[in-house]
Amino acid sequence: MSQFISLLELAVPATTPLLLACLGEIFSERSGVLNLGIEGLMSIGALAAIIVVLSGGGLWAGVLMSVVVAGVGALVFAVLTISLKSDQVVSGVMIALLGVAVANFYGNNWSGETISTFSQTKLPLIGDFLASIPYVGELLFMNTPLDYLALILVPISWYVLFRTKLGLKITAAGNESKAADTMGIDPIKIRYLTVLISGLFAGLAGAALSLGFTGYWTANLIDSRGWIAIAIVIVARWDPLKAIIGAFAFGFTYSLQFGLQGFNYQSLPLSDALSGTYEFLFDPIIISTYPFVVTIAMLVFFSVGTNTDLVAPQELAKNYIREGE
Amino acid sequence: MKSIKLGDFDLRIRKREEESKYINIGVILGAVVSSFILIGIAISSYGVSPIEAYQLGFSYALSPSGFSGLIVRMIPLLLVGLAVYIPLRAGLYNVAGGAGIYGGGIAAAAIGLATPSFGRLSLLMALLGGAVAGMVILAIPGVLRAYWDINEILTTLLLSFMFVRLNNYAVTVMRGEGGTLTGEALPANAVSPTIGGGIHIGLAIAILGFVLSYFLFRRTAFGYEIDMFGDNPTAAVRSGINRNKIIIGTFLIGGLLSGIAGASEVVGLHGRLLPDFSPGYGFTAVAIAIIGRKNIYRVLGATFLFAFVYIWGSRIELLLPVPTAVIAVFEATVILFFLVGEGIVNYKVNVEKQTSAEEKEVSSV
Repeated sequence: MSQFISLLELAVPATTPLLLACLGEIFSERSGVLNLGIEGLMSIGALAAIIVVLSGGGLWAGVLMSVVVAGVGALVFAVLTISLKSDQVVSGVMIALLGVAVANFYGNNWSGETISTFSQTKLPLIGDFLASIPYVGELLFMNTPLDYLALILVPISWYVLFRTKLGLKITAAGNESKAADTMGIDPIKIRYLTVLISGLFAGLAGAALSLGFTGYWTANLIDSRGWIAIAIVIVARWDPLKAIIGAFAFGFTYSLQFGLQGFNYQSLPLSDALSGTYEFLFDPIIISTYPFVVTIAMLVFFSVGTNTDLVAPQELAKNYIREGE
Repeated sequence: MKSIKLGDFDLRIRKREEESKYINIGVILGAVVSSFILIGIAISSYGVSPIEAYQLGFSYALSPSGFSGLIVRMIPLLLVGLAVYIPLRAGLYNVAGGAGIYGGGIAAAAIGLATPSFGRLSLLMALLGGAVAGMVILAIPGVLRAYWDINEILTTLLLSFMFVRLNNYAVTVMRGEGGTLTGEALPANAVSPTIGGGIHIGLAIAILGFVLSYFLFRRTAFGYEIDMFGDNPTAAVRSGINRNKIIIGTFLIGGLLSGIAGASEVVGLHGRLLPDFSPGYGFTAVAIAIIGRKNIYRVLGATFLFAFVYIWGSRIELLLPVPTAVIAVFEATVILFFLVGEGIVNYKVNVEKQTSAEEKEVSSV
């Protein structure tokens, strides 16, 4: 049990970047834009944050810089796809490739130096009480400010998307863009806004990883989390409330890489007969493939026998072109 | 419609109806030149003179050893480029070039090591094994997309990430002697003969792959169906084309090509399994296929371009204090500039006499 709790403790910081990136992607996808650039935006955000802190700025200045840099990157993607009508998939993959490459290129000078990350604190006022809840108290309510921020952004995102006029407009832009346009809702403006949001969230996600978790920059720091976040959007059915469950499940599989190091599989049942299998399954390199295996399995599990078309935005990845344009 | 009013006249931005060949080539050239300029600026931030870097790279690529190096680089890039290009003509995105390469490489190395007593047959079996491994791996995203409509971009990407790691694991399993972590050297029978500075059997395979792909689209019914499906899936299915056959078929071809690319790298170039022996070829293949778009000759041209960039990048990385990531930066900027150029070119500016709404109504009646 205690081993399981310690695994869960590792899962929380691994969840936050996934959750933030996923929330942003929900905004852009619901408006009809498949932003595949998240991995790259997270990369440049994470690096920018570290550079600010290593250059003497505060942690929050780092977060701000990360958000700004990733937001600018997202606007490049927006101009390409929304204004110039480039293929969303191709543009997104290339923005992802570019972001990772640029971060690796410039990060070369900054890798190896460590900062002190955001410290784990209790929430003000009710923090002491919440942290005293048995088993899960410390787990959920003894975290970094960015973890809490991600948690708060879940209901806020849900509320904006499902209970406000803006949310309706976003849904309209992603499902009936022509009709929306004739009714005076400009899908172009809406899509610019949501892509920008996805960039800002990706920046936060990058900062959560570099300033809240690792505390240093290294090449390929994001390690495919941006792509997994996009898969979570599908599993979560474009719903922020479900995203938190998905993000935690995947955060858990990421945490296994650290949590299962040196795990003693002799204690497992049938360890004599299955020792070869166990040795394979608990090899550190094999454990590092689990997030991908689990993601593919989840995509299959949530797609077989259900009709994704019913919940997916109808015009996802389709550029909006006005008549005569 | 975007329009800017200038007195009585409207400046309207319209989609260009005809595609000009020269404009297309101009866009590609423009993208390449702009990227070289941008990369030059990036390099100079490392205190390196871009002029010097370009001179080093170009003079090396034009030297005899550089030229054979270029051919050797073109082999996997052309095969994987085609592995992405063929599904792309059906409107499907195969971002799993890396998975095919690594899967093919692992299979080829395992077969090569396991069949020392089979004579030269060992080489053939290693290559075929690599091709089959690639097909098995790429069948997964194909089947998932065909039967349950699971997004093939994500599944292929995830498979790529997975197989980079599985390859590292396979290297530890097949570990050879010596200080550095590499796979055991393959027996001589499983290693391809080489000519002129390391050009190996992969060249023949790549040429064959290119010619067969050319005939696939020029001469076969399946190639025609792929194009029809790519243009309009709904209409294609209505006219009796089997959707699943197109999706799974193009992915199997992609798997075959990328698997044999990985196998030929192992038996031809390295003679053993190495960790990370595909430095981002899967992503480069996407860039190649996008520049190729509907024209297979452009695939060849793009392969040459990116092979050159690899040679150039690895040369300056060796001699100057510039990180290897410069190659990936170049790839991405070329494609992004290319997309920007296409976007601008596709929309031309029209000057029209402004007509009021009432006039329009009258004239249309």
